[in-house]
Formats: sequence, structure tokens, C-alpha cells
Amino acid sequence: MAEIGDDVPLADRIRGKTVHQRGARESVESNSSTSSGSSEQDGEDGGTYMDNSPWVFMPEPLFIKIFLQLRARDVLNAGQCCKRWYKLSKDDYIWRKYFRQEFNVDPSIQLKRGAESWRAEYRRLTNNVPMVMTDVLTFHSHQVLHVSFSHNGKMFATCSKDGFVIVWNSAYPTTIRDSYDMRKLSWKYTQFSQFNQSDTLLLVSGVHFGSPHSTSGEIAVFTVQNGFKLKCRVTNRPYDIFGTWFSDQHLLSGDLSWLAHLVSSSILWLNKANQEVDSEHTPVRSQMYKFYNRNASSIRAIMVANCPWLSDEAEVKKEGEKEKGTSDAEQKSSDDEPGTSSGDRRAGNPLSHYQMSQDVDSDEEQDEGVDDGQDPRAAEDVPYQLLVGDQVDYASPIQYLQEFRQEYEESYYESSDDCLEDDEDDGDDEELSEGEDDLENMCPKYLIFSTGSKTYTPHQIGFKRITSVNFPRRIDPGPSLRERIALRDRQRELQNEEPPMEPNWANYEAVAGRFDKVDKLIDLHGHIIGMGLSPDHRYLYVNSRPWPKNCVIRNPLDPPAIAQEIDIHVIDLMTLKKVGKMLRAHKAYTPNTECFFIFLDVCDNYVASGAEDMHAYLWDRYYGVCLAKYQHADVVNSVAFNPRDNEMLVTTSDDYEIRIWRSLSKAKKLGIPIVNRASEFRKQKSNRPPPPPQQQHQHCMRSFV
Amino acid sequence: MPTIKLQSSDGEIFDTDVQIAKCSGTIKTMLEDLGMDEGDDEVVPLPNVNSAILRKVLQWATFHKDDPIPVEDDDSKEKRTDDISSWDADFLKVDQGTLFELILAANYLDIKGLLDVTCKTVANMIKGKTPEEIRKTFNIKNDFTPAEEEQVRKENEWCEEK
Repeated sequence: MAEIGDDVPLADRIRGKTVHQRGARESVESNSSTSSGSSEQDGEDGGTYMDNSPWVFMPEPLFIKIFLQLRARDVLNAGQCCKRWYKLSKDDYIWRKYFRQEFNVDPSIQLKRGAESWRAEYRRLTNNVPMVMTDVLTFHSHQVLHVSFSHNGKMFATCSKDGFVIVWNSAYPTTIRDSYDMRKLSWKYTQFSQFNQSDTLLLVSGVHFGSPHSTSGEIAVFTVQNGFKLKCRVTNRPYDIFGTWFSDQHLLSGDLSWLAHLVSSSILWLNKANQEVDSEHTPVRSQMYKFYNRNASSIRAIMVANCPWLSDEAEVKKEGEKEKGTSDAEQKSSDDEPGTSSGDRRAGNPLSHYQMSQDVDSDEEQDEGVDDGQDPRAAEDVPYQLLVGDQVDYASPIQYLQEFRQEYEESYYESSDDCLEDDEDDGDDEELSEGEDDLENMCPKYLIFSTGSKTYTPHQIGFKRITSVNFPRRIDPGPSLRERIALRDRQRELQNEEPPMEPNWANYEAVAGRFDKVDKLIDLHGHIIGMGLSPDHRYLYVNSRPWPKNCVIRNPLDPPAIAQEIDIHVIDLMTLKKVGKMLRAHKAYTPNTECFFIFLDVCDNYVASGAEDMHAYLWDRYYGVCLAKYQHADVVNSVAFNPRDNEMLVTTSDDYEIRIWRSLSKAKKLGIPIVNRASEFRKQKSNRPPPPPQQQHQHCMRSFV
Repeated sequence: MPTIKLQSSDGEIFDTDVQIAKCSGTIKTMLEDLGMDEGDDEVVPLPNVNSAILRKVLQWATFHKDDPIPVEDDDSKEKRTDDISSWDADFLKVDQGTLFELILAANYLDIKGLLDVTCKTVANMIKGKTPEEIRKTFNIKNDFTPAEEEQVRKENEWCEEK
């Protein structure tokens, strides 16, 4: 029977082999009369063991041992053979082993609370992680710098160096909903956007045309519900402060004024999105904070987090809160925008900083007292290693402190807190007239921003608790013209007697009273290039490129060299402590002077970030492991999850493209052929080779060239 | 060379080198616990193993008597099923009944090496097969109703074919 053909059914072939073997081996011949007898019989009435094959009744530990040698698909197939195997195939011990092995998860990490089983988690990471490229949008005619989703997940906005802001419908296949050419408003390009909570307005911020080194930017607000109309414009300096929604109808913008050499002041303005007011005495903006910037640093990348847990403390602290600085220091500013030393910035996003002062001798020594003693912890926290070449495993996991995972679970369940206003139906909150917010009864918030103290590149995260918001209903008209003339005359007389005292701006202690204080600074000992909040606003994820360990900054205009790897840090906003980090997670190559933003995004289950190695990356938030990387043909500047559908990820790149990735399960449902896949990080499975380099897309489809 | 006597379930006595018998964790423990010495004429009964299987087991143990003691499974170690030595592969070219009983015997006698290699062999018989092919291979009767079968199929279809 050795000459059995290929068309013989498998079972017969095995039996044939068996018979052949038995002929060949004396020692086997006499054995196991019962079961070998059964295998000789036909399938229907086979099995002298009870009423089915003995294999069906194999002891559970042996079954598990056999299945630990196999893979998920085989176990699932085996589970479809008969009832007992079905039951055994659901044994979570097997799935825990599969999960830990394939995704390289540390055995000390327990199942995420709230997860059904290891099998369900295995299934989620296999089937529900964005993995299939379902759309390629080529309508931007230049590098695509940013993407942001509406809260209802129905649309997303992209910003590009082509000057356009485009709003897309997220349903498959993605279509253009609206677009606007900001070059009409003298913008060089758009760089950042954000929908307000009710998804009725879109904040777009961008960079003005001007001198090559201008840091002047602007924020524009568009209506998105009934036609895409420009609603207001607000100046914004430096442009990489980006701006953010403070509430549904109010946004924050920034301004910068120079006080002295290397010293400036950042003022944050609270603006009404609706600036059509009935009276000249009705204010549309109000100064919120004024911060002191030393060593050529400034406040950038502002964001606002809703922090309901602060409300208890807030009551107590309110009394101690000082009124804001009222000095008119901003008048001292030199209006000319300082430039940078860097030349033409070709790639990607705007710089993640801007060197704020140029007229400085590089050998000028700064006051060491300011530099030293600033959070030396940071240096220890971030072991710096220069890794060369491509032998690095980029799929490094997030290392969390132990308590994080417990806390994470709690916050996971609290995430529907009504302070987030997240679950309200669209357009439901019409109690206030248009353009009005109940600013006084807001959930307590943190203002979060990147800043610095040692050099101009942002290396610290600043936190300011927003305790009360004072938006005047009417502008105080102030003294009449006659009174003002009289006042000025008096001042002139005084001035003639003795020249006015110029405060010593360089000495912070002397002028501290004129500024708002930052509540907390966390130094990351590296260059911060992106920040993102978790959906529940409990955790802040930060992209930073570490400085060498123990480096000393002598000249604020000469920041330390930065690593080619991006670290991700996780900060718990409840404790304002770092609870996790992921070192050398992904790549960036540009030096300090040209270093630009690489945005990251956080959803309930995952974190994703762009990188300069032509890929975006995705990690599981709880288990910390890197799961996938998404190919582009150039630097990936920004990523965004659909907040209502974590199985959809959008990536934007310097290759002018926007790519949309959906999970296997979604792709199947939508009937999309699974052609272009992201690379998975998975043991026991050879990583899929990246798809062959694609032909540069013909941008003939572009609609506005 | 010291030997002991092993008795199979059907009464056959096997004079066995102690060193080889001690491949079995079960026998080793038994000898230690009972304080049996070489030269004792006592017989170790193995009521769960018939003579044909015991003969196979001893054949395997004889060949592998100089193997290093297997280490406990390491979770991080990658599982492979393609590392079966050619001697073992030949040794396990047996009918399914024998294979099944060898697994049970290896488990009962606590012979890790033999258990590993037999389980791997079974795993290889399952690998890459459809449910119907697996049923045929192991002569398994489908005891699902058509509705149940469809439900299980749907439930299990999430993991793509690899």
C-alpha cells in the first residue's frame, strides 16, 4: 500500500501508512488491538471507545499540551470537529499562552480587567487592530501635516503644506466634504486642526506668509454643520502654540512678546468663536494667562484636559488664587519676529519649537543658576543609548509602573464621565444661545503645554490648573479721552523728573509677581515633539527625543544633540507623575534645528504615532506591546483614530498621501479585498514583508492644483 | 548492570536496566519512595500500560537514555514541531491507536521527552487541516447538529487562514 496516490483521502492514507509500517516492524505488530482495530473501520461506525474516536476523549492536560504546539487557527479548526474538542479549544490557558507568546507580553501582566478572556483579547489584537489599507487619499498636493477627527467620528480634517484644510467624510469610501484654501488668507500652510465638542466648529491653525523665519501664525474657525464658512480669525504666535478649544464655543490662542534678551512672555487668550457682537463694549477675547519664558523658550502646543477629580481640591484652593498679573509688559515687545539659524525646512510639520532669539553671541554664558538643579530625576529616568543602524527592534513595548494597570482599569470604567460631554447627542445642548458657554460652571481643567527652561527647544511639560474663568460681559470703557490726556500730562511731568524704571526682566524673581505661575513642570530631558491625551483625559502621552544622559546645557541657543529614537512617556494627570515610558519606540532623524512635530493619538485601546522612518506605529495601551507598523513613502507626520471606531486609523505623510487603515474584521464587513497590509509585530509568524514599493501616485486625481 | 522488573497490565515481566527505567518520573519516584534496591526481586506493577506499549516505551527509553534531563517548558521559548529527530520520527511511524496509547503511557509514566515528541507528532497531524480533514484524520464523529456546527463555524472564523 506504499504506492498510495495523492487523491486518496487523508484518513486512508494514514491507515495505509500504518499498515505499511506494521508490515515492516515486528515490534509493533502485536499492540493495541482495540484502537488499531477501530482505525481500520469506516468513519461512520468507527470507535470502540464509547461512541466516538478515542482522541475525542483524550485527557484535558494532554489536549492542552498538544494544542500548545499549534497555532490559533488550528485550535479553532479542531474546535469545530466535535463538542468535546469545542469545549477544550476554549480553554483560556491555551489562549493565554498564545497571547503572551505571539505578542511578546510579559507573563506578569494580567488580563485587562473588563476583558472577557485571553481568547477574546487574542482575537481583538488579531482581528480588530487597524491593519488593512482601505483608502489612499491623494488630494493634497503637498506634505500632509496633520489629521484630526470629529468627536462623533463622522468626519476628519487634514492640514497640509499645500495651504488647504480638507474635511472628509469618514465612511468608506472616504469622500471630501469641504475644503478651504487658506492661502487666500495669506497663510503659507495649515498645520493643525481640532473639532469642538459638539462638532459644529473646526479650529484650524496655520503659518502666515512673511519672512522665512517668521513665527507668526493664525487660527481660523469654520462652521462645519451648515456649510463650511469662516467664522473668525485670531492671531497666534508662535504658530506652534497651535491653539485649542477651551469649551464648545471658546478657544485658546497665544501671543508672544519679547521682554529682554532671551526673555519673553507668552500670553494665552480666551476667544469667543462667535465674534459677531452687538456692541463694541462686548468683549470677544479675554486674557487668560501670562507666563514668563526664560532662555529663549516659549509656550507651545497647548491643550486642555478636563479633570473632574480636581473639583474637590479646587474649592479649597480658590481663595488662595491670585488675580492675574496686570502689568503692561507686553508693550515692551519687539515686534520683529526673531529667526532661526536653520535653513530651508523641507520636510514635514512645522518645527516643534522655534528658536526665539537670534541676536545672541553663541559664546555668551548664561546664568548657570537657572539651568542647574532643574529636575535631575529626568536624566535618570531616561537611559540614553545611541543605537546605530537598523538592528534595533523598533517594536519596543511601553513599560508601565505597576500601579498603572490597576489605575488604567478604573479610569477605563469612568471614561463616560459626563464632564467629558462626550456622550451627548449632537446639537442637543441648545440651552445657551449660540456662541455662549457656561464658562463659570465648567469641569475643572488643566492647561497643558510644552515649554522649556534651559534652552529654546521644548523639553518640559507645563501644567496649569484652570480654576476659574473670568470672561467679562462688558469691556470697561476706561477713562474718557479728557481723563486720559490729563493722565498722560501728569506722567510726562513725572518722566521729566526721573526716567521710568525698567524692570529687570532677566531676573525672574524681581518680576515674578507680574506673571502667572505654572503649577507643575515635568522635565523629559529631551525634545518634545508631540503630545496626545487619552479619551478620558486621564493620561498624557508624549513623544520626545531624548538628550544624552548627563548633558549640561551651557548655551540656551545650543541645545544638546537629540537621539534618533523617539521615546513615548505616559503621564498620569491625576498624580502628575510619569507612569510609563516606551524607549526608542520609533525613529526620527532630523537634528534639533529642523526637528518637527510628530503627532501621536490615543484611543481607548491603542496608541499610535508617526515616525520619520516612513512608518506609523501602533501599540496596545494596556499590554504596552507594539502591534503594527504602517507603511508610507516618507515621514509620517500625524495619525488619528476614529474616536467612535478604534478599528479605523488615519495616517498622513510627507509623501502627500493620507492612508486609511481598518481592521481585518471591518475590511471583511465592507467587502474590501485585503491587499495592502500593515506589518504585524508577532512572534511565531514571520513578519509580513512590506508591500513592494509603490509607484509614486499620479496626482492627477487631485482636485485643486 | 542493575536491573528491575516491570510488569505490564497483561502480566508480562520486563527485566529492565534501572537507569533506563528511571527515565520515567513515575518509576523513579516509586523506587525512591519504596526504597527498593538493586537485586531485589520485587516487581514494579504498571497496571496502566500493556506489554506492547511498554515494549515500545522501553525501546524509546533505551535509545534516549543518555539524553540530557529535559528542562521545564519555557513560555518565552518558541514552540516548534519540526524538530523531531529522525530516529523519533521513524519510531513514531505507528498506527494511531499505538500513538494514542504511547501518549497516555508517556503521561502516566511521566516521561517528558516521549510525551513531548508524541504530542508534537499529533500536533503535526492537525496542523493546517480543515475541521473536516481533522475529523477524518482522527476518525472523529461530528456530534454537532447542523445549526450548532454553523454557529461554531461562525464563532471561529475570525482568525484568518495562515
